[in-house]
Amino acid sequence: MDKLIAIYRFKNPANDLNYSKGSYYLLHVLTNEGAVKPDLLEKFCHDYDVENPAEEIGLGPFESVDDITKFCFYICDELRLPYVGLLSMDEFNSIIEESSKVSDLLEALHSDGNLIENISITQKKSFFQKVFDRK
Amino acid sequence: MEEISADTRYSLSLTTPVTRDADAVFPGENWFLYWKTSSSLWKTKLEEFSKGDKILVPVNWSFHSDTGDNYDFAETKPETDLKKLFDIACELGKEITFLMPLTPVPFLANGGIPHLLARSIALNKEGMAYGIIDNEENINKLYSFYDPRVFQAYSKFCTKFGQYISKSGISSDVYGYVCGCLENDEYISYLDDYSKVFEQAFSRFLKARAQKDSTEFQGISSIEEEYIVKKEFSDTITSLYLESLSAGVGANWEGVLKFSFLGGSLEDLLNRMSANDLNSKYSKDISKSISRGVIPSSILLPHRKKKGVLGRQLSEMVESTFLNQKLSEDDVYETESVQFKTLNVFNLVRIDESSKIWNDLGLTDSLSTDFYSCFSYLDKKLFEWKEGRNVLEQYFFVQGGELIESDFKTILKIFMNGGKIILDNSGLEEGLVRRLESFFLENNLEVEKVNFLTEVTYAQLGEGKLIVFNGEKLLTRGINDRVNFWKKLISTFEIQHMSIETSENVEVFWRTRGSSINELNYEEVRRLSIYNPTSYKKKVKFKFAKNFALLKIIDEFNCELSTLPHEIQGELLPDGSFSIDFGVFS
Repeated sequence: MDKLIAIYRFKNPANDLNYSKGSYYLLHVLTNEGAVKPDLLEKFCHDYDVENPAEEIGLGPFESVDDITKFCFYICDELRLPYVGLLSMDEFNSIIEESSKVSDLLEALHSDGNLIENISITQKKSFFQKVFDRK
Repeated sequence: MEEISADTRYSLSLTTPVTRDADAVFPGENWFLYWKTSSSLWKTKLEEFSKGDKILVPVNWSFHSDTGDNYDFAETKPETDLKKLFDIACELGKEITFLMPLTPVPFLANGGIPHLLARSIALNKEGMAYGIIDNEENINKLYSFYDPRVFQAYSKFCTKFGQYISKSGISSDVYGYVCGCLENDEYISYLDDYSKVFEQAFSRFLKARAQKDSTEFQGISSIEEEYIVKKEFSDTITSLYLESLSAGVGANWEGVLKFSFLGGSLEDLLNRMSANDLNSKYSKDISKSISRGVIPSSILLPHRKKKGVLGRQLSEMVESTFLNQKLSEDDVYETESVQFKTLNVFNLVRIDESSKIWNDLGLTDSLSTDFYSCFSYLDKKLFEWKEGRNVLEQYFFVQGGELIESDFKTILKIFMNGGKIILDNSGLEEGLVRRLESFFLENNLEVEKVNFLTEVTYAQLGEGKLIVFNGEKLLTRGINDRVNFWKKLISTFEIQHMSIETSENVEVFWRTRGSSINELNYEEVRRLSIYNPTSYKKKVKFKFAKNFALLKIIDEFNCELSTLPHEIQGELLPDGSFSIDFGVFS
């Protein structure tokens, strides 16, 4: 399945002056072709106005998981991927702990986490589909 | 007795012949994994190492102690009989070196610790669990070395191991080895841990410190201070493991080796799980590791990855050059040998591995263009003067803000012995500034001052050169200016070297050795190796520098070279490589 897997973390906002900006950071974005290349990710961040603060780990901050999802949908649109799988860092760590082979890890990454369909890709019809579907 | 060739040996073997490259006991770079085969086959396996190879034997802690409190050294499993292994090596005239882990080990299940102790998974800086893919597609999890139970068991194991080798008369060297990987161009040790276990151990450390030193230590008041104290804590734990090992193995103790495991970073995990890892990345990592003084290891990579140019790089750059160099660092006879060593001209002294100051100042960019593979980082702890050391062709870049009295003495010693020092005076302590000025006056040195992008002071004493510049001011300039500053400055040194024009992602590696009896016309012989780890055709071109004579072109694979007067140009096909020897004369 063509899918974008995003791993995010939640930063405890206690004592953080930037709390108002949000506490979620996007750590890694993967596709079937491995991690999305840093320069490409940088371009997406630039286009979508997502920060990449030097003093923080990950891209963001995002106010909520929903905001991360929206950004992931944007990347999905650009990369023409139909699904987004969102995993928190703890979920990813549990997967690592439970996997003993690469195949286990891949299977868990595809089945676990929050899977969201990108309708703009999955329900986008080709020209011929549109012609034949027309009643 | 007639010698049996490798092929005949296989035909006499009762087991299915396995080529050395595909054999799990030989994961690369002269490592030998004794627990991966029957002890009855050890002799046959060890025979396959070339004469003169130093065989690295990592001691598998969990194999000798499955629960952490019982030990097996030849008592139950015959494969735990290290004395037998040692005796076979002696009989075959091979030298084995034992490696004992000082950190979690990425190629072993549970990071090499006994399974009952594998309770708290270690986390990296991002808070993600260390999961590492080995050469058989297993995912090895690393467990925290900050767990007190792990340390206690480790300490006991070191004592038992030490008693065993002493009692059984094993005289092989024992090194402690630090495992890590390159993460964003920075060497990260697998001991680095950001898990709860680390935090708990750290809070116990703080409590103990507050009790011991209640007047001076008032607790942590800032993030910067927390970073410093955490570093101090992790150094303390590292030294505890080190002391346990060195005390345990006593006279066999030789020192510490650092390894960087190709394919062992988080980025590698994410790419390797979907088989999208690139050889060109590993190829670059080899050079980067060497420039950080860390030995690259390909043990995590499957054999199919190492068949082509990557395998040649590992063999030439690591196995026959850098590894030997590291294993004979303190060997006085090795310094004048005719074995190739890495060509290291520039030493970039830095306080810790995370320091990026030379990068920010544009120096690494400049050196990467003109002197690729000829510079390395030098840990400030190792920046010291050794009597008899030849520093005539060595350049040391030093940060003034990090200097203490003893470092200052080292600088002067190097300078007076003909070495070259380039000192950034930003942050230099007032007392040391005055000492430097009085040194110039006392020795009646002619000091030239120039203002080129920053203030530069130049003094010479015989062969020795001392250049003082202000890094703070240089940092205010644009990156191109900073890089040009170094290009200009380094060009004044008139270093004998050749500039190579290559396409992107082509790896260049320089080695040097003394001249042999047949090469007395030359002062040294330099070997240039060029590798193309990509799947594209790449161009290469270089003009022979003055005082460089072409000796021979060797080890040509997938390349088309044409030799013109004083110039070589050609194309490297995918997976191509070649080496050229030059005689260098005055």
